[in-house]
Amino acid sequence: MAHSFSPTLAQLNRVILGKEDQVRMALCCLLARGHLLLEDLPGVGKTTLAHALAATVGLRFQRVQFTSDLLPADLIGVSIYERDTGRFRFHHGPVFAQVLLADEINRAPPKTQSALLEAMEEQQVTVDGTSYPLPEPFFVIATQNPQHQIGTFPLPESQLDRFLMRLELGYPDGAAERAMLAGESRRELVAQLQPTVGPTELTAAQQQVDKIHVSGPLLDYVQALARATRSHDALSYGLSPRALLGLIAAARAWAWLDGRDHVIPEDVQAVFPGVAGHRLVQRASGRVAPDAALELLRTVAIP
Amino acid sequence: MADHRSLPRNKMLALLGTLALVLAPHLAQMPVWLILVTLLPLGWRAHIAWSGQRLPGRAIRLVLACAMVAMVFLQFRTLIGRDGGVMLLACLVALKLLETTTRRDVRILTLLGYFVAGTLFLVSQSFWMLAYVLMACVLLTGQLFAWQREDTRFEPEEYRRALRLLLEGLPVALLLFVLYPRLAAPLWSMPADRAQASTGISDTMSPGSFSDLTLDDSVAFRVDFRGLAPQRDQLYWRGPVFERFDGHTWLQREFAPASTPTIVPRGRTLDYTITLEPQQRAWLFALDLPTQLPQGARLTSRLQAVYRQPLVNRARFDFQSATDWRIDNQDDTSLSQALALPQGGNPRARALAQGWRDLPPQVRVARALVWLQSNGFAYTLAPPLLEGPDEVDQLLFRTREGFCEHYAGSFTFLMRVAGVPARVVGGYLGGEYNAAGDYWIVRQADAHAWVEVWLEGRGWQRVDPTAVVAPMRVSGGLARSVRDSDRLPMLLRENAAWLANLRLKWDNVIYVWDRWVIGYDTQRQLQLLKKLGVDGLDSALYVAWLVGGFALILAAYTLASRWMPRSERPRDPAARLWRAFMRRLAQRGVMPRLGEGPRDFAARAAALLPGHADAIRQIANHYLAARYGDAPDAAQQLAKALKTLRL
Repeated sequence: MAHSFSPTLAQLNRVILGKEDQVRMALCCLLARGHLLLEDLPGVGKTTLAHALAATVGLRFQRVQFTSDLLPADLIGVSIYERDTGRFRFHHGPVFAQVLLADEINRAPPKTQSALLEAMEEQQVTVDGTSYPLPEPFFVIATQNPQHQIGTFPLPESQLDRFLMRLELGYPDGAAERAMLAGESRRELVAQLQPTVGPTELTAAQQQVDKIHVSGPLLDYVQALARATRSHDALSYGLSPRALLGLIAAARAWAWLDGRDHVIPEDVQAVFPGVAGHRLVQRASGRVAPDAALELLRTVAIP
Repeated sequence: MADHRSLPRNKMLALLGTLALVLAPHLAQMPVWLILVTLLPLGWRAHIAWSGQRLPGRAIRLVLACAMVAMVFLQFRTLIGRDGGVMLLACLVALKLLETTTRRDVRILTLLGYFVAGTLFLVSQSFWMLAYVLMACVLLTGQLFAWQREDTRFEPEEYRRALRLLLEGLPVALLLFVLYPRLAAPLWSMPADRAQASTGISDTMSPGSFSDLTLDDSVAFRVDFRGLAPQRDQLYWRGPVFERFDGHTWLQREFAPASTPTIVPRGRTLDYTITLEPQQRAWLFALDLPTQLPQGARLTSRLQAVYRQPLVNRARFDFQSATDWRIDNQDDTSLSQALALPQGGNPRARALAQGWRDLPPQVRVARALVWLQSNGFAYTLAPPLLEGPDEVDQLLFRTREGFCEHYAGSFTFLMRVAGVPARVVGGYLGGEYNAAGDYWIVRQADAHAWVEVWLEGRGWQRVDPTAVVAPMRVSGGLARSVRDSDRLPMLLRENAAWLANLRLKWDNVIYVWDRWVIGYDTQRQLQLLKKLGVDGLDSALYVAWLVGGFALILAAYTLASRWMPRSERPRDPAARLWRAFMRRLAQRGVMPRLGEGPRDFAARAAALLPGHADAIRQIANHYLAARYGDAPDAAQQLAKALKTLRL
C-alpha cells in the first residue's frame, strides 16, 4: 500500500540532515494524533524540525517562546471589552494554531504549562465559561532543555504522559553536519518549503492509520512489554494503559508509513523508545530512563 | 595491543573470581609463598580492571614469567610431575591474565580454566572433588556464555543454561566412562593424600600404642562378604606379628625365615573382598587365617598377608579364609624364638608361670586364662602408667587395669615362661555392619592385639586374653566394653544412634563411589562387559554397544527436544512453521536473539546466508502477514515457501 507521505519525508530530510529516524518518528507522532516533546540541548535543530514539519504538511503554525513570566492568558487568549459593541470579545491566543511550537516549555511556570497541557488533552480551551474548540488537526511540538540546566520547571510525570512521544535529536554526524555547514541557511530553506500535503490529506491519512490491522499476537507482545515495565526492579512504575494505547497508535502510524496494512513487532520496537522512554522513571535517581526502554526490547521475547 | 578497557569491568572481575576458585584446591596444597606469588597477578589484574589502569608492559611480564618459573623450580626442583607441573600451570594462567586484552584472550583463559579444573583430580579423587570440579565447569561455561554477549549485564540465566548443558552432556560422559577402554594402571602413580600419612597400627607394640588408636574413628578398610558373614567375635583381622620382647616393647622379627609353614584349613571357608584405605605400608588385613590371597600378595612365614608394594592408593583385594585350621612344618628357629625372653625382670610373673610348667601345654594356656579371669582385671582405655623395669609384674599384680596390648603382651610373657611358644598378633577385631550397603566397616578404633600359642599337633592357635577380661569387647565392640569415663569418639558411642545411622548411610555412598568410580579398572570393566555379553574390547558386540549407546542417547535427545517445546507449542500454525524455520536456520548457525523481531531476524539471516536471502525474506513476509496481518491464505503460502527452502 503506497501512501502519499513519501515526498513529505524526503523534503523534511533535505532540511533536517542525518536525522531520518527522528523525522519519521515526528511524522508518525503527527499521524497518530499525538503530541511531541523534543528534548535536547539548544541549537541542535528542534525549532527547525517543528517549522519544517508544519510548513511541509501545510498547516498553520504558531510559535510561543515559553519564559518564566509567561501567563496562561498569553497562550490561550484573553477576553477584551469592546466599547463599540459593549461586549467582551475573545481574542484568540497563539494556541489556536494547527501546529503549535511550545519552545522551552520547562522554562514556564507550572500554571502555564498545565494550561497548555489541558488544551492538548481536551482539544478545546474554556475562557469565562465559553468553550472554544481548537483547530483540526491540532499538533503540539514542545521543546525542552535538559532538566539539569538552570532555571527550569521540570514537567511532572502526569504531564509528561500527555505527550505521545519524546525524542532527542542529538548532534548530527560528521557528514550531515558538514553538509549543513556548507549548504544554505536552514531558515531560508524552511521559508522556501512548499506544502506536499494539505490538512485534508493529513486527516485522511490519520483515518487510514486508525484502520491498520492489529493482531492478537501483537497485542500479546504489547502486553508483555507492559508487564516487563511494571515488574522491572529498577523502575518506579510501569506503562499506563494510556501509554499502551499511544504505543499501538504510534506503531500503526509507523506501519502505515512503511506501506503495510498491519502492525508487526518491529513497528512496536521502532516507536517503543520514543513512546515509553519518558514514562519510565528510574527508581534510584528519580529521573526518566530512556535507556531502560531499549533494554526492555532486548529482554522481552516476542510471543 | 588492544585496550583492555574495552572488556567490561564486572565481567572481568567475575572471570577472575572463577579462575581463583578453580585454582584454589591446587593452591591449598602449596607453600604459602607460592600461593602469594600466584595470587599476585590475579590481584594485580583485578586492580587494573577496577581502576582502568594500563596493563604492564612486555618487559615486566617477561621478567615476572621468568621469576615465577624459577620459583617453581626452586620449590619443586622440577617443572614436571604433579606438584611442579600443576604449579607451573597455575602461574602461567595467572600471568596470562596480565596480557588479557581481547575477548579471544578471555576465551583462552576460560579454556585453560577447564584444563586446570581437570587437573584438580590430581589433588584428590574424592566424591567432593568431583562435585567441586563440576561446579567449576558450570561457572566456566557460564563465563563463556557471558562473554559471548557484548553488553556488560550479569545474567544468572547463563549459569542455568551452563548447568543444563552440563546435565545434557552427562549421559554421554557416563557411557564413555563405562565403555571407553580403561587403562590397566594409571598413567602416573597418584601420590597418597597427606592426611593418611601416619595412621594405623604401628610396627611395634608398647603399652599405649593401641589405646591411642581408639580415638581415631577413620576407616581402616571395608569388607564385603560373599555369603554369610561370621559372628562378630570371630572377626579377627590379622596384621603384623610381634615376636621379640625387649622388656618394654614388642617388635617384629627383622629376619624372616625362608620357609612358610603349611596351613591345613578346616571349618568354614569365607570369601570376601577388602577395600583398604591408603596407608604407608604393604600390610593387608585378612581374616584369621587366610588361605587364598589376591594377586600380588604373599603370606609371610608369620602368616601375615603383605602386598608387593606400599598401599598408597585405595585398593580392593579378594581373600579366602578358613575359620579353623591346623599348621604344620613350623621351623624350629621360629619356635625357639617364640620362647625367647629378656634376661631377668618381672620375677613375680616368672614365678607364677614357672608353676605351670609341669602341666600339658593346653592346660597351661587354660590355667593362665582362668588366672586372668579370677583376679579382678579391668579393661580400660586409660590405664595407670606402668613404670620401671618390671612392667608385666606391675600390671598383673598391682594396677590390674589395662587395654588389649597390656593383656596380650603379659599373656605372651606368661606363656613363654611356662614353656609354650607364643607371640602377639596385631590387627583389628570386629567392625560395624552397614545395613545400608550390606558391608562391614572396620575403623582404626577397632585395632586390637591378641596372642597366638603353638600347640603340638595343631600349630598356631589364637588365644585372646582380652576376651577373658572383657568379654563384651570381643562380642559387642569397643563402646560396650569401656567405662563411661573413658575417652572415645562420640560416634562410636551407641547413644548417638541417629548420627551413627546417618554416618553409615553416607559411608555407603563413599564406598559405592570408591568401588564403582575410583575402582573401576580394566578388570571391573571386563567383568561388566561380560555381563553385557561382550568378550573383549575388540569384539564386534563391543562396538555395537558403543554405537548403540550413542544412538540411544541421540534418539533420547531428539525426542526430548521435540517433546519439550511441545508443552508450549504454539497453536497458531504460522507460529509453528516459523519456529521450525528458526530451528533450521539455527542449524546453519543463525541463532535467534531475545527480543528480535521476525523481520530483523530474517534480515540478519539473509545477510549471513546470502544464497538464500530472497527465500528467507519471502518466508518472513509470509509469516508476518499470516501472524500479524489478516491475510487468510498467508499461512498456506508460508508452508509452501518453507517446503521449497533448501538450506
